[in-house]
Amino acid sequence: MTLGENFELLVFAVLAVVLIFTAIMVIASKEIVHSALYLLGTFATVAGIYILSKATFIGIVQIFVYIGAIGILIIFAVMLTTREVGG
Amino acid sequence: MMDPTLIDFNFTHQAHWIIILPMLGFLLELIIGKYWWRKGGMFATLSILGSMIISFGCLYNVYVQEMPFYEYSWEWFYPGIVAGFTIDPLSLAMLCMVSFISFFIHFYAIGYMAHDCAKNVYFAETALFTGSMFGLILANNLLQLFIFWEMVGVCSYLLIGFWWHRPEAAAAGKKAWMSCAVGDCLFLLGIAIMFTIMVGTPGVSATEPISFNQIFQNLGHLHHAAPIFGIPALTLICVLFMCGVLGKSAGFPLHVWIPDAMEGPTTVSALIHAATMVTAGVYLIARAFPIFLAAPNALMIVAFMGAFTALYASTLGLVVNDLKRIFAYSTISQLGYMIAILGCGAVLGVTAVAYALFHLVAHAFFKALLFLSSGSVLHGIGNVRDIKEMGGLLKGMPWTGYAMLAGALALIAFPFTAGYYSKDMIIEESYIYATHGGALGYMVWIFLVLGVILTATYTFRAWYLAMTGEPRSYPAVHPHECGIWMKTTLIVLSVFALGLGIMTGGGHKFWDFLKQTFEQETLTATGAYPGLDMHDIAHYGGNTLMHHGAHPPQWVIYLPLLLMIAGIAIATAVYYKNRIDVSKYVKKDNPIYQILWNKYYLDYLFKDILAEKIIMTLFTFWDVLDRYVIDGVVNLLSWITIQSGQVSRKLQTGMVQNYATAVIFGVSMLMILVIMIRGGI
Amino acid sequence: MIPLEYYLLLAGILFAIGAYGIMTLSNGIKLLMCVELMLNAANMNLVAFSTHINDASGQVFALFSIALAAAEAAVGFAIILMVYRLRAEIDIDNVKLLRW
Repeated sequence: MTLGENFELLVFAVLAVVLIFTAIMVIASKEIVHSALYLLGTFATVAGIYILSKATFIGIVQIFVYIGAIGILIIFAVMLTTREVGG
Repeated sequence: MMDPTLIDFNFTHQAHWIIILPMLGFLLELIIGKYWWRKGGMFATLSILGSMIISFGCLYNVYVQEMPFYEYSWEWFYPGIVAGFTIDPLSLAMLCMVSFISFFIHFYAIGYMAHDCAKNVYFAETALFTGSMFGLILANNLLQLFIFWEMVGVCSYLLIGFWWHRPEAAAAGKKAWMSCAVGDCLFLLGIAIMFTIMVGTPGVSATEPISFNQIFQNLGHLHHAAPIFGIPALTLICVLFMCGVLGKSAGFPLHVWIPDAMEGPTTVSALIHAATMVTAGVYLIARAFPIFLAAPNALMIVAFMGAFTALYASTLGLVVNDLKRIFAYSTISQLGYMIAILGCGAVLGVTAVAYALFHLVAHAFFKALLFLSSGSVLHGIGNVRDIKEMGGLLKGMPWTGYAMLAGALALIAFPFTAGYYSKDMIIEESYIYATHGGALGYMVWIFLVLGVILTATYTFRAWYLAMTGEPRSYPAVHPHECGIWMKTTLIVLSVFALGLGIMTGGGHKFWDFLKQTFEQETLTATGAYPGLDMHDIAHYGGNTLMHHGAHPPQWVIYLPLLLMIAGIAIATAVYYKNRIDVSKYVKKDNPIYQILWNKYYLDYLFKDILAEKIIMTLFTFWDVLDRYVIDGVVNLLSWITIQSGQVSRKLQTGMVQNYATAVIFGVSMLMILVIMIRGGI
Repeated sequence: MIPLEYYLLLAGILFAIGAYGIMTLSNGIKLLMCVELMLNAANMNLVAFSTHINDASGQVFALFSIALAAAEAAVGFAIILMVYRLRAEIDIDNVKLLRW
């Protein structure tokens, strides 16, 4: 294994750990706002994985659409439906 | 002779307009007819005038310019099921007759129906009626003919029951429909069998299996078709066709609707009896004549049924008192003559078709005249129809009276009227048939001859009772003559009823034209059907045609004339001079009178025994079966459905998580299954 | 070059987390979030295979999937908002419109 490949594997491992952690936190956190923010983290990590696997375009689209559009949509939904913070 | 280059236009290629115009007339009359001239009548009459012009144009093309016979067909909805039209002498004779008579009946109806509130509906229906008849005549295949045949039936139902608010009229319409339906079902069955054997017979290369010309061309193969129930297939088909003919053309025993059909407006009766309805059956036999000729024994049945109907109906005409019903029975009788002479075609060949068609055309003229003049009588004396309550009408309505006399003379075949040339020829030729046809042939001839004396008697009985003597009821004292519309029609029809025979050179021009029908080639858009050899076709059916015209002995020629004069003499003695008192025979306790009065109990047989006893009993059984077995099965199925729904609705928890779980579980199971079956991903 | 199995394993874990969330949670918004997680897992698979066999069509499918997910999210959240307006809550355990 070359150094580059090792580095790549290392980055993948880090991204995988972050991905699993944020995904679990999405369903585990009590605060729904936190859930939403963790979800954005998940999306960003997935975008990183895309870029890592040489699908740069999809990665950028992932950032645009998921983080830019759906993420905002979710946060709006959370804001419009939750009566008080922590509810 | 007209100059053949006078008109340079090929009407035969425009023949479809003959059907389309009356249909347009129907629509216009129905939709906007009410708001136009005289609140209805114009569109229908003009559209039929248009059809008449095209029909006579086609006649001019074929008869004067001697253009070839023409057939056009285009594919309709299934390979081989075509729509099309045929122009040959047979269809031309019918077309011209129907359009001419129908036009004048419409013309008359403008006056006759002037005060009816639903006039536009009446004219719409008669236009549709006439248009359907045109379609029937022009049809070049059996299916198209059957469709228009049924449309004619529907229109007759609508028109007989036109004054539906009278229960008798509604019942009469229903009766007409039901009686025809019995025959029509069997006719359709015949068409189906014809289709099957045309498609299934080896050696037949039919691209249009039920087109008449294709059938005619393949008769040599068809008569080898396997028998059905031990009957030769072609004979079975012809018998089934004959059942349809008996229904539509009012043959015994399906004629029962005709007398009741008099409940409709008189113009409708005229239309039904002269032009559009009852002639359809005769036309069907004429059109399918080669099939009948190639079918063993079929024409014998036709001849016998026709002759029997002719005699049977004329005995009934003797006792009826309703003016219109007398003429109705005379129609049944005259149709019997036509059918009988078609049956004689087993010996005479295609000439028989010519004789039948000439009588049909002549009959159309004088029967239309008789009905329209009796309509004028009814119009003039306030819808009294019983001839016992008329009398002395000739003074009040001379035009009508003499028009009716003209019609009556033609009906009884008085010398030099149209009926003389047509009917006496039928009787003479039936004698020639008898000399070739054995005992049954003589029976046909005897029936036809006996019909002559009865016809003369009942026709003049009606005329004397209605027109001469003293008025026997209040309305008959002051009859009023009909208006200009009706009078014009009566005059035109009188001229034709008296003069048609002389105009056609004693019928010879007509017969010579009609004889060409099947034996000349017919052009189509893509090729031509060669003419048929009628002798060959007759051999398929075991018939032998005469090669040269035989002449019956002199006494056979003069016998009908003598009998006709005897009939008039009897009627004159009894009903005009009152020399013989028949009142001691015309009593309820005279069994013969009783049988005739009750129309041989045929209505009783059909209605009280067949319909109410037998069919109603069967219906009771069917009702039990329906209620407990069939309904039980249906109810069981619905009970099972409801119960299974009750159980399975518990699955619908409304919880999204449950659904998701089910989906994921199902997909997992599916994947496991795939892995197990394929042994790996 | 990271082996294909790693990607698949990671996507499987992500999908399982999303599926678990859908089956257990009752908050409507969280439910939709889990749907997004599962869609992401599927997209990851597509991209991974695409890279592995060096064929761009997998990425095209992923692109379609993303577009679809955006539309689905918009509709889904609109429904959630409507439910909230009607019921003043988004706990779908209590929103049983489809119950028998």
